[in-house]
Amino acid sequence: MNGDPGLDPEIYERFPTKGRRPRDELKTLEAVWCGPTKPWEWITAINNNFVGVYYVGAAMLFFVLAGVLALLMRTQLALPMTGFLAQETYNQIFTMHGTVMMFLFAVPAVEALGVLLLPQMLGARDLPFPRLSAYAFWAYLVGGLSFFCSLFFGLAPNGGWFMYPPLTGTTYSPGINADFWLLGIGFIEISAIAGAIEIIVGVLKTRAPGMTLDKLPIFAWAMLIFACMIVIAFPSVILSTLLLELERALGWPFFDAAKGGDPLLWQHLFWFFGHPEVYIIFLPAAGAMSTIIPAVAQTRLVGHRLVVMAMLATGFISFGVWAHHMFTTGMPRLSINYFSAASAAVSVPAGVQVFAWIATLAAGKMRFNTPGLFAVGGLVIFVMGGLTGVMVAMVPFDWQAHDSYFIVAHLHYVLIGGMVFPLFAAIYYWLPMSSRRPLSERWGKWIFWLMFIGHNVTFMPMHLSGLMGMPRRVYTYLPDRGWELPNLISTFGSFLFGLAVMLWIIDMIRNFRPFGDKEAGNLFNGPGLEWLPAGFYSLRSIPVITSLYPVWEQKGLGRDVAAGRYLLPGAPRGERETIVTSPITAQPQYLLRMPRPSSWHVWGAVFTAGFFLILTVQAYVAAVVSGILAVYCLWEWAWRLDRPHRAATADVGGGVRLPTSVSGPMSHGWWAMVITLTVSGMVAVMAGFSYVFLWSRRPDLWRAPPDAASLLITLGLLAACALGAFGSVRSLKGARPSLAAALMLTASLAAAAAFAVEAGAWWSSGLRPDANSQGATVFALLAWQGVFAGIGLLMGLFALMRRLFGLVTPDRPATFELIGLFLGYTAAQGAASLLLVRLLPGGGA
Amino acid sequence: MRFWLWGLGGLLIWALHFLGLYGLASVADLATGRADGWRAAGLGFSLACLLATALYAVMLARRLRRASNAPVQVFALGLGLTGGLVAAIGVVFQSLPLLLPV
Repeated sequence: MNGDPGLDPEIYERFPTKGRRPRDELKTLEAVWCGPTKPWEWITAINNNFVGVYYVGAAMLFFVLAGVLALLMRTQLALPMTGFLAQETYNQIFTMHGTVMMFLFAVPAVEALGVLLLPQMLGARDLPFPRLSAYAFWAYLVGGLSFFCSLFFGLAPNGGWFMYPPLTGTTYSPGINADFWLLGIGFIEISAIAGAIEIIVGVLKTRAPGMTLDKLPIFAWAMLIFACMIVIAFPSVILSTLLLELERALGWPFFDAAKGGDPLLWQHLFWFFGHPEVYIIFLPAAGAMSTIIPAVAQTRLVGHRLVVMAMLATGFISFGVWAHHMFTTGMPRLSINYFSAASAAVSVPAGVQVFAWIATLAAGKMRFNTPGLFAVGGLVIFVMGGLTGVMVAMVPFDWQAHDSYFIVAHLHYVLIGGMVFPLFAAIYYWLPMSSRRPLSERWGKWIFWLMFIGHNVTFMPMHLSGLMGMPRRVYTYLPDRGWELPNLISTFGSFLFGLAVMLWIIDMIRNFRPFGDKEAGNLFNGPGLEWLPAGFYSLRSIPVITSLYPVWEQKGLGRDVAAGRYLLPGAPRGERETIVTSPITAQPQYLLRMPRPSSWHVWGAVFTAGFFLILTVQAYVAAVVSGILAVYCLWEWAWRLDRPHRAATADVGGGVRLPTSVSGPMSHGWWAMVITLTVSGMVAVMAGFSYVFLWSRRPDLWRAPPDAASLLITLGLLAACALGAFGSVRSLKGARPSLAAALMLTASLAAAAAFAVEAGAWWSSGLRPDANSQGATVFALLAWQGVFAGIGLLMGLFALMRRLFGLVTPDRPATFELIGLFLGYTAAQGAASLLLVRLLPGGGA
Repeated sequence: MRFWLWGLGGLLIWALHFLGLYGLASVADLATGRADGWRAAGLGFSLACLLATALYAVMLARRLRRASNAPVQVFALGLGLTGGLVAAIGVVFQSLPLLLPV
């Protein structure tokens, strides 16, 4: 049933090995994985021990910044009719608070936790694409800080974190404030997707041998589901931001009702991302809770399989609830009822997890240390938010509470209880592992109680002010409405919360001081591999796993791992490398050579961020220059991949030899490409949905497509593209590299020609992108295809250059396989979108 | 792939059912004709999904009996069986709006 290829598990009997390891083996390993020695190497570092800490640190920086904005808002709202903040400033601040918390703190924070913890938790040296993680981090940091700085120039977005048109169209938002949001967020989400690809491939392909899926740590399960959800959900927000920016910059009317557009399309696209986003944030935090609670209770998680199923079910059902944010928009009643039912149903898997945590605490012996307090506190708050969630899932109640402070209270209970408290629990729990030094328990308890009380004092009264009719997003209110007291109490509570965060910052600064003792050890007696002694290379040797709780149940594991008695006890080829295993049964497959630090990914991130941010201020030439430089950096990065190996196999200990290079579905690169193409496919699917949706709104505006002759030519060119790509890979495997390179270039040219023919046919038909919704969506689909054709051309050129430089050999077809996959997908996507726009509405409305 | 299909089959049926009902409701909103007909189509589709879930659960149970020695397979099949139960409840719950008076 699993069909997992890899070494026979019988080889596991050889481990732990006996006898002493070579004397200089550990020294070589340390030298190969050494940390930064020169100042700039702190920036070019790619090891997860550095990038993970940077990532968590940056996410917490944005948490603090957005928290300061919250305090400014609460100060303004403490009393009626105060003039602490001007109306426009308040609008920018509440928009930035929501945006920064959701996009720059919540998702990156949990992704950062994954980058930091997963390699050690899975028994890998590092995640399979460390440079991609580093690129995602630098893109996020540079993009995020630049985005935040727009606030200091009065240019920050001011249309709410969901940016509904028509408010954010050029009529009502003529400045560049909204453009900062659209380009900035679209770009930052690309960085989140890069992280998700890394996490999926990492969890599925770099686990310790024997760590079959039934022995996969619950946190890794959560991260896997989280990353898959990002792949499905985030393309929707990337598409929606692109469409709105196209409307604002070029006048393509996707959301302009006067030309057949529909503002509701934005809401569908945004909330198809926006509601799963809540669970995207919640699931890793829930995974952390399911890891921390057994540790603080010192017992196994009750209902492990049920919790895994609950997380999977949450992932699925969360995609069926997006329209519960749209109950008041006049959607058909039957559709509303479906979404209401799904919204109520999603509380069931969340409830399963909550009951599993309670049962685990009851089954074990709860220790009220700081991680335990944050875990239980988060559980209490999350349950309260969940209960009001069920209330607002009921349509009649939602109609009353919609856009009131009741919703503000509800969402903060869910997000703070479901993500912030678990994140603090995770920081207190795992920091001794990461910084080798625990945070203060005494301070931690003070911080917890201040935060717990502060949270409830802030948000509990908001239920009341909402039910008393106070709307969201108002910068002030009139006296004598009964709103003064709850608002004053909320403001007081928010400063208590702020005080807790300030104390935590001081403790963190103390913790990361560069002097003093640094060896905390397994302070909480955690059961996972991450608690074994480790260095920058992660574990000294990669153990064979036979239990879900290896540290608790595999006696002597730590000693044997540290003594190098398991797999890959050193660096057999003097390079950074890790073992790649099969996705289901974790059988060893090959030895992956990992990259060493370089600056290309950093420059690539800076120039990619530059491209998007400079576009915002409409300096098009500078933006294009930045874009070209970004492409050059990525080219240099890719050029260094897939290089020859000195030997076809390598000894990884115990007499086990693994191949040093594989291709096809066994390789990690193939998986990453397939996931990347899934992201692209989701953008195309959502674009197709937009096309059908807008057609259904105003079919009278739509006209007949161009003649069938151009359709046949385009389809023929797309078929040539797919066949050329396929033939190229076959030729390379048949030891004809020159023919392979020529065929690949031809395939990429065919994709570009297909795009040119189709675009020309539509243009000749007289349809213009700014004329109506049909023109806008047809040309948007064409533009998306054009981007793929452009990338395909670059790839075709890349293939040719590699051939010219002698880097193409039949025994290493991975690069050509990936380019072939990309071009094959480009052809399929082109054909699907072509058939959609040609056949619907066919002869015209 | 078969591993994932067996493990996630129930949830996939739930997702198919949800999208199908939403699609039917959206088409019904645009189309002319009697609402009762669209509701009957929705109920028929729900019944088909429920039957598919039951069939899937029976197949899983039979495989589970045969796969008792491989922990990872037992895990996936158990996961699938639980998912099938969740899907069955979900399909029934999701179909209830069709029974509400117009």
